[in-house]
Amino acid sequence: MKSVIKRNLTVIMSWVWLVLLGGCDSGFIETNTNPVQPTAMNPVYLFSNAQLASSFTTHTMTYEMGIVQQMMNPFAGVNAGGNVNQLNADQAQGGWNNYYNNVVKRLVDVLDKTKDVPERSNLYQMTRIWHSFAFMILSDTYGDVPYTEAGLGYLNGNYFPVYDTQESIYNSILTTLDQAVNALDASKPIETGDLFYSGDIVKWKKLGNSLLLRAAMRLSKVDPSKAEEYTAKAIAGGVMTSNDDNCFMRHSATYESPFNTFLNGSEKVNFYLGGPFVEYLKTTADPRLPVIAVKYENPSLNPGSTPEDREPSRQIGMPYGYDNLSISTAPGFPGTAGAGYKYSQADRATLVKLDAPMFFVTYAQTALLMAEAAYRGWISGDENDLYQTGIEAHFKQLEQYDSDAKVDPVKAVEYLSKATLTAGKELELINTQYWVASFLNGPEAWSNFRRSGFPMLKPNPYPGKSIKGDFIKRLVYPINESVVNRENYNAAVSRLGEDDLDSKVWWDK
Amino acid sequence: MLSRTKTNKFMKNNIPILLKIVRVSLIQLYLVCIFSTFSWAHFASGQNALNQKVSFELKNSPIAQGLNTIRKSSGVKFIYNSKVFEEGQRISIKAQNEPLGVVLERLFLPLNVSYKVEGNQIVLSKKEGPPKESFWFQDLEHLLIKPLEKRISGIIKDEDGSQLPGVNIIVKGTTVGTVSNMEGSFELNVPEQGAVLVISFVGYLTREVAVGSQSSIDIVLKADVKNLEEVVVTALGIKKDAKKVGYATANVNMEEVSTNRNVNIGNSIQGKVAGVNVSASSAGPSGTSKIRIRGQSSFKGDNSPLILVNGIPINNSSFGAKSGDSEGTTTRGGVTSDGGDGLLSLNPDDIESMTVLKGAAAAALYGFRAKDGAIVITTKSGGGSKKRGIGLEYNTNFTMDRPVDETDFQYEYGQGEGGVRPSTLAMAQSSGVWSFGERFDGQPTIQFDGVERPYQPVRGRINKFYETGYTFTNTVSINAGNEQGSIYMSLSNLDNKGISPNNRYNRKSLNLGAQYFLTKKLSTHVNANYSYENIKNPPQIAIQTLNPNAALYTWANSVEMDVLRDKRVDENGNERPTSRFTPRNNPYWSTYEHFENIIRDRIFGNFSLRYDVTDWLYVQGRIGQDYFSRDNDYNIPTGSRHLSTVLTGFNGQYYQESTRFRETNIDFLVGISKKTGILGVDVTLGGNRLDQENKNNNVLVNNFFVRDLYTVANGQIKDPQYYYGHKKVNSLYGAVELSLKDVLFINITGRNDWFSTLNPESNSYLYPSISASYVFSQSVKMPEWLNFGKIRAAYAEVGGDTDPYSNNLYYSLNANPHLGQALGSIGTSVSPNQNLRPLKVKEAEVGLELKTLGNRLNLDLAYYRKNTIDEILNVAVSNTSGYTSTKVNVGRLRNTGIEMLLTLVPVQKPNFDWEMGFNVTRNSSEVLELSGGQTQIIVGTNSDFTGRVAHEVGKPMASLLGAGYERDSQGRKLFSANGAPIYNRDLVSWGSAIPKWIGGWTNALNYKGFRLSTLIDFKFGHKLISATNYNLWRHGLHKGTLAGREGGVIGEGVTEDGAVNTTPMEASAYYGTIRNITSFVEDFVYNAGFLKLRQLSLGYKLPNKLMEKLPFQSVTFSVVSNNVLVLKKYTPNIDPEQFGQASDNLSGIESGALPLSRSIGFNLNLKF
Repeated sequence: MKSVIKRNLTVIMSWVWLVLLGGCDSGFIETNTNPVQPTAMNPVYLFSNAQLASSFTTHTMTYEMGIVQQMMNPFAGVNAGGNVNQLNADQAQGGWNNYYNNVVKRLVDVLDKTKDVPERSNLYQMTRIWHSFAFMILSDTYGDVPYTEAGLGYLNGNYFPVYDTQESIYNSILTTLDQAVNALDASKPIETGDLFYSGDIVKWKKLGNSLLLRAAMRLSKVDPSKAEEYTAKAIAGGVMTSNDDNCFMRHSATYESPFNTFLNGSEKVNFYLGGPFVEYLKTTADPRLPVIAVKYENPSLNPGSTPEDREPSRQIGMPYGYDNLSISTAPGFPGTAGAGYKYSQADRATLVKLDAPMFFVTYAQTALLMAEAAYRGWISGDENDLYQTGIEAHFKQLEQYDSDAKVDPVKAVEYLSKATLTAGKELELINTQYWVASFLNGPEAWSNFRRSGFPMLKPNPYPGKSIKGDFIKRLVYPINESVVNRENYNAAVSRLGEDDLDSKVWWDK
Repeated sequence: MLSRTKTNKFMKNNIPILLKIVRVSLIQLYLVCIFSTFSWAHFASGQNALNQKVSFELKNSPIAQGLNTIRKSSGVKFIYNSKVFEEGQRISIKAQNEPLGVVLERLFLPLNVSYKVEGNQIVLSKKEGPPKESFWFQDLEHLLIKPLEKRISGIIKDEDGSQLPGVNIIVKGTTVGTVSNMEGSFELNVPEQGAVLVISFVGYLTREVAVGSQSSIDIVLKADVKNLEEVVVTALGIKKDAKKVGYATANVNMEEVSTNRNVNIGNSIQGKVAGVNVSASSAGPSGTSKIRIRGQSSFKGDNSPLILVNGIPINNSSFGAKSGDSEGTTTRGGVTSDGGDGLLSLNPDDIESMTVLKGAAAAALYGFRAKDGAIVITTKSGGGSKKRGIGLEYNTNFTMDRPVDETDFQYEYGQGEGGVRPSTLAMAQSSGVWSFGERFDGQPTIQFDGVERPYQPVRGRINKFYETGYTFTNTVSINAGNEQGSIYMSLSNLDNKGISPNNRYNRKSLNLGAQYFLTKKLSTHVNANYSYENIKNPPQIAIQTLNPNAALYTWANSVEMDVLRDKRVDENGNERPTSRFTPRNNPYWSTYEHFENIIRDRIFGNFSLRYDVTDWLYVQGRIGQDYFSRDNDYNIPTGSRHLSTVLTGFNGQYYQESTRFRETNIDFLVGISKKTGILGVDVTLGGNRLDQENKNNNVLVNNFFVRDLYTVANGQIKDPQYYYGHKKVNSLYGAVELSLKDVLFINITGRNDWFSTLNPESNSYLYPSISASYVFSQSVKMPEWLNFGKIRAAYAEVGGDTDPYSNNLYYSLNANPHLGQALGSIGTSVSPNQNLRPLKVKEAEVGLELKTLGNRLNLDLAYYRKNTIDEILNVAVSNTSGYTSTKVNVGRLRNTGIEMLLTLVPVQKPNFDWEMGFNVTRNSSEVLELSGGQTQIIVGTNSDFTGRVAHEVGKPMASLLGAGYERDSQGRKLFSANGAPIYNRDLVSWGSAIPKWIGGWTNALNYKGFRLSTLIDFKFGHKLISATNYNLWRHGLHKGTLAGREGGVIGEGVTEDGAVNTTPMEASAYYGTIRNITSFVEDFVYNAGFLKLRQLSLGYKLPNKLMEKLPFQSVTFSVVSNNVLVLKKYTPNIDPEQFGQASDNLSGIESGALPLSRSIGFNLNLKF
């Protein structure tokens, strides 16, 4: 018995000893090191993810595509936006949140990890190019935005970045793109992790120059001489020359197109093609109409399980100016179908299908911008040829969505043969085609509409609009910014006038 | 040091007295060591000590010497202070093989000394009551009158039917009396007429029994639960005499809790303890029980108290809907059901005692885990049995639940929009959640299944949809014991059917408690609890998708429930369209086609060894562990309306996860207890080593190859994830208690914690406390009516827990590459901070306890002020920085409050007594500081419907935010040209979600074996935002939407130019405009206060006489009811407690939970 006690005492005392030892903190650092998450990784993984995250969210469908009258839903409330010309803070901040949280954050970290690493110089330059793309979208949408100090929360401890003026952002983008394109070097290691071109330096240079062209042309109203200067630089550097150069994100069943969950999912009976868009394609006998527009007998069912009508003459887009209660009074109201309406929808089996690609910068857009530049005399070349090249490129581009999205070649030739610029209407024709060629790229269609003033859209006559002007000119900053980053927000707003949907961004003045 | 100086000074001045006291003290070197008195040290306690036969003789011995002799022959130790005996008192007595109890009675009765058994010590105290002299006078009178006498006999038992030896029986008004023998029987000569017996025994209520003409009397004594010398279990499981405690604690009456029980034991303390705010989740019976003590101590989403079972912490993580910090996190697949919490594993039948340690001082020895107080649970280990040998107990409880329908819908207009009923199938399938149709006329009208049915109201849908639930609990337990030790084993099964269709819960548990004295000095104690829990289909709450509750409360009022059920599936096996609101799924689709399973296997317990080195020193070591595995899976059924199409195969989702949690605590304690004269010193030193590991594997798959086969293998897109968390905390702690003259007690504790989760430069934190208790009624002359008076005061600093890996930036990889390329991201939107400190709570409290009217009126008052500093806040930053927030130590908040517990025994008769308790707490909180000049942080958003929760500087915590109407300078509502109300987008604060007043009123009436008990409880002074009423409004079920159905609504107010608004707006458009802005709440903020008859039970205990003919020791049968009646509430259509979200960051946001249910049933307890 004694020995039992002795043994037990030893056990107790060893516990005491253990705990006393634990008073110091040996092994703590090891314990507090996460064994399943790394503290460093190949930066190209972040770059790829930033590329993937650049796909436009469904917010662009409620605002941007609604403003340019390509996409319409008859509901106020959650999906209110361009359809009713109202302020809807949740939708307005969608693009901001996605780009700053998922694109800028990763790209800035890639820049930080590659800037002093010579063997990753191509990744560094590619990242600068894509960073510029992201900030064009952010700035075009909101105006002055945090740029130089953005994304440095952890790296620099800067949690409240200042808002750079759009002018300075564009100046910086122009020089950055110019430098980056020139610094790309095929003799340096190739970044095959790139999801656009597998690191192809030639294609990246074309993308960089095409973006430079886009950025330069954006300034046509506010600073024509600078626009001309950089347009020339871009063309000299070499822009996209075919649809093979298109910059787009491919999607898959795993990483699906953001539009799919919306247009084939929860909102499948609620979103239709905009009336003016269908009307334009119809009246111009555009061969793209049957590829783009479909009437589903019952929109609440899936494509393939409900009859489809692609007959161009029967396509009808949802008119602007109505909501779900008044839509039945709209002229030519086609009636309801299932839980939806008998209006045309974007082809849900091709353009907005689950793995539909998302186009960011295309040959068609580039050619049309060149047409305008040529017309303006900023670059050499025949604007008419470039105009037709742009249209034809978009015909072909549709096939990149799905092989079924094929424009009838006979009708295409017929259409192109008539597509010539008429005197005095060059800018309208070019930019109206740009509008069509930018279908499903809401931010670009909207920016170019604001810059060029084309297409000639009638203001949305919805009676409950909350804007003073005819069109929404910018989106408002997130409410969070006005609370959290108040000082910098106020400075930006004071330059802007008012943080509303009517104030114009710098290049739109 | 202070105490030693005092002692020295005292010694110099009082040497003669001291010498005497020292001698006395030496006899009893073994003190009633408060720190060392563990429950299992009591096995040989109670009546056993008194029952042992002793023989000795004392002849004119001094007290000390005499008691020493008794100790030697019996093994019991005596504790007393010098005031108990007269100076120089001597005693003489002879005992020959008599029970010790009988001998002591004989010895102490004439000395006017009462005794009490505590462990294997006997505490002596001066008898209360009139001075002895008066007895002598009365006695003389009796002697003079010399009445005729008769001989009576009787037996004295306790309520359980056990005989009580050693009970005092005195003829009232005389000193004539005796003591019951081993079998509890006695014989006594009493006056022939008018004799009344006064029967008294320590720990029992004193009874008076009129003898009348009887010659044989059976007397049952009731345990005195409000005994003066109440013992409370304090931190580290240390039992203390209540009077020594300098902070507020409260014991929960376990008998009440297990008779009228809740599936989750946490809900059983609702309304019963001052300062404790319990909110039962209305998410089905297996839901979380949200317990908050003295307000919410931090801005975190979870402010639950620490739960200790037999001294070792157990995990009480909530798996509730939207638990967690950041806006109430949900599971990955977006399913928000309530999967219960840690308390759910406990079977109330196994619990011996439950003590709530309310304040920081009470829980100070738990250091970093003490910020929310603690609930200390002791499970049974057989030691409580009064009888030796084997005891068998069986308890069965069956209750049935029905939903309480609080709805008051409009039944004048049916399905439709714009004042038009559906005339086509398309319209019927589009407007299923709209009741803005035409006036009911009974005409055939098409419904979503294409069938025409009369256009008429469907009433009582709540009662039709929800089913009758039941809970059936059976527990068998065995306990046995002898001198060496004791054991308790139980087996329990609980079967529950929820009111939501197909919802089930099963809990099987096995409990073992044992204690054993290996030698006289070495004892061991083992406790183990195994439970198996299976939750099937807990309903979704608090969101839109697949939530049957939210759907039911919006469904058009002309659709029959059985049609909805029978026609939920279309020809293709998909959900039949009912509404263009696709996430508002058919409630039967949600409850029949969607499934969820949660299975938890859990074992927790501890093993300890204790060695009493000497009378005044012991050491103890202990290992405890809580381990569980939890498997959870659910589906989003193929064909659900809100899902998008797939390229091939079938849409839908399946989620599967497995969690393993393990917490190990190794601790030691050293207890020293010394008493020198009037000064007592107890020292406890200890240490603890915590190791906590959390692992979670989960996989979400989207879309399937084979229809209706919900497996990972069948999934097309698989996204597996793994979470691992590991942390350690090492602690050393100590407590010193000084007692002076047994009336003043000072307790100082300190605990130092070292955290693995913090920066090694600053990972050590000290948590001190000091508390004092002064029993003034024992040292100052008090009026006679005051039986007991004590004041107490305490101050403590405790801390909060910390999460691992929050000091570094980690990258993460997506589970699936894209186009062959790995996708990486920065794993967090919260920017890490390397210099975080754990938050700290500094709490001061004072209290007063008074007992009067013979302990029949007791008052316990407490005032506390709790400051929380260094709150770790995820402070919102500009997301242009790449992060949405960063963690910083900035916030400060304060909770202050008053708690009162009043207990009263208005009637106390032999056959009838009435006990009443009233507790009330007023808590008020104030947010003192947020980060750098911020005045508000939004912590929770009801993103599916409406309402936000924020903390605002200068206001109470949990401000409910939302938008309201735009008004002109005169306060008139503004309307736009088309007649629509104009809303103001600003989020305005509408009041706090935390009740200011909480409390309860209990009543128990005992009449012969009957016991009627009631609980009325209340909460007042808080608000809620009702998303249900918001939806009823928008969808046209709310009675308020009847205005303007024909001809349009003309809103009362003015247009922007000041003219009276005269423009009508079509009703469904008008009422729908509330959805046009973010979080409109103005019309849906309600007073959340309520007064409820919470519990009602009527029990009957078969009389002991009957027991002799039956094989039972006792039989008790009770009829019970829970959630009996709502006496007062302010919310239309819902119950103010209809809550589902577990996170404190969503307090006050009512959103699509189950209606409350009322239960009625019975409880039968059999003891063999």
